[in-house]
Amino acid sequence: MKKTLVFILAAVLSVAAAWYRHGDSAHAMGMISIKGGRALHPVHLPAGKDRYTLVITGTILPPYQGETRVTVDGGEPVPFIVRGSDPIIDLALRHRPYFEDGILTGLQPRDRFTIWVVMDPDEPMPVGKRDVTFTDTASGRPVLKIPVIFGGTGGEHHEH
Amino acid sequence: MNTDTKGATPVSFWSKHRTLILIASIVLFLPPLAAIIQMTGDVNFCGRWCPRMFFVWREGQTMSSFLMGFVRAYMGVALVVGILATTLAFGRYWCSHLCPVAAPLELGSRLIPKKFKLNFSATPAPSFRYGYLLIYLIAPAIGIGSLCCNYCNFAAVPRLFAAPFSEGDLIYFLRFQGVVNFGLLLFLGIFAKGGRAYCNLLCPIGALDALSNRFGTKFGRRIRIDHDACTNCGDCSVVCPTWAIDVTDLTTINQLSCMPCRQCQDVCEHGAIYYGKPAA
Repeated sequence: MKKTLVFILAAVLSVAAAWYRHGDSAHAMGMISIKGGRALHPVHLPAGKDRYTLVITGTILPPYQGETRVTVDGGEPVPFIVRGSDPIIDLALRHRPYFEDGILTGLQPRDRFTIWVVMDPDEPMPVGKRDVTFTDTASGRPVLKIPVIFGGTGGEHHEH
Repeated sequence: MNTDTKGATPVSFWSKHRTLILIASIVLFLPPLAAIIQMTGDVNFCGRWCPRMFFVWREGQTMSSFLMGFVRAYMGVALVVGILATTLAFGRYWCSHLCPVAAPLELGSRLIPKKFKLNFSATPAPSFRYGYLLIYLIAPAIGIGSLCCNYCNFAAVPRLFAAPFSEGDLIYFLRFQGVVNFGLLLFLGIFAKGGRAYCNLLCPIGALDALSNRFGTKFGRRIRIDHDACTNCGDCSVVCPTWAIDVTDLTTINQLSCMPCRQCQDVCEHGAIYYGKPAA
């Protein structure tokens, strides 16, 4: 009897944990390409908070290679920082892209990257749309745009 | 691999050096060095090394994208397949000796005074674990959400080690979900008696590994009881970090929770616990 109850309790808690969204962070995925890229996971977040964290993971579609600057665009300017996820002690065993001073560098076809974008609006974030834009530094063209939609109700974010 | 003989309980290599092996695993898999992870050009267990996502079917997913998940996380696939295969034959050595995610929790818990430790042994671990695993598998398939990334121990622990050096990893914890994950690691890891409550209750890899362990009980090497020598004193159950030993009547080991950490074997004064194949 106890085992059955514990099983049910675990299932109920797990459903609640899987369903509930905290609304201050989200995961987006995208693919960088010469043709403007593709966001696999547009992000929906509830408006009204004063800090949001996005983790963005992506891949580089051939034949793109180069450097991209990462910015948050659209609507009223919002203060943001972007940080990479690089090795602490780099053994340089394999090629990998790096993030430095707002720019993803050394991107080569089929590379993967992870960055963190933190938005710290001075006022609670209004309803509206922003874009996390990846711009090729050589041509000035966007190679990926990830829409971030701040809605009035609830939040939604995705995993892989 | 050294194998103890029934009743004699010589100290094996794996028992004698377990702490050292756990520390080596931390050094090799986790930041700041993460040498093994860097061999594939990665930084942590996300992406190629992800062991938690590839076997989870998601709502609206096509078969090709499901299979692509195996390709994308090929190192994670290799890791999980390797873990399950070796467990069938030798028991859960990954969990007890090699897991870099569990190692800091157990080693950290050893530093906490006993009076501050939480004892979860009244919880029937397999019941909780498989209730959790069921939802872990079903929730994404029916589209009510996911436990895969949001509650990922393979993401949280490496980032905990990287956070002092990298703002990108520190950011992981500076949000509500990060605080929850940090709390779970503390509550079910560092402050848990034995340091293995997280492993025993909430690790999906551990849950699959435990099934492999149970499945291979009849032919594989496992921690076992020699009932002729056992006095049912209960010393073994006190030290078991996964509360796998039941001494209410005849002393038994639940192979759905046991891992060959050998702590029970080390404290048994009667040589009643051994690691090996089932007696003929």
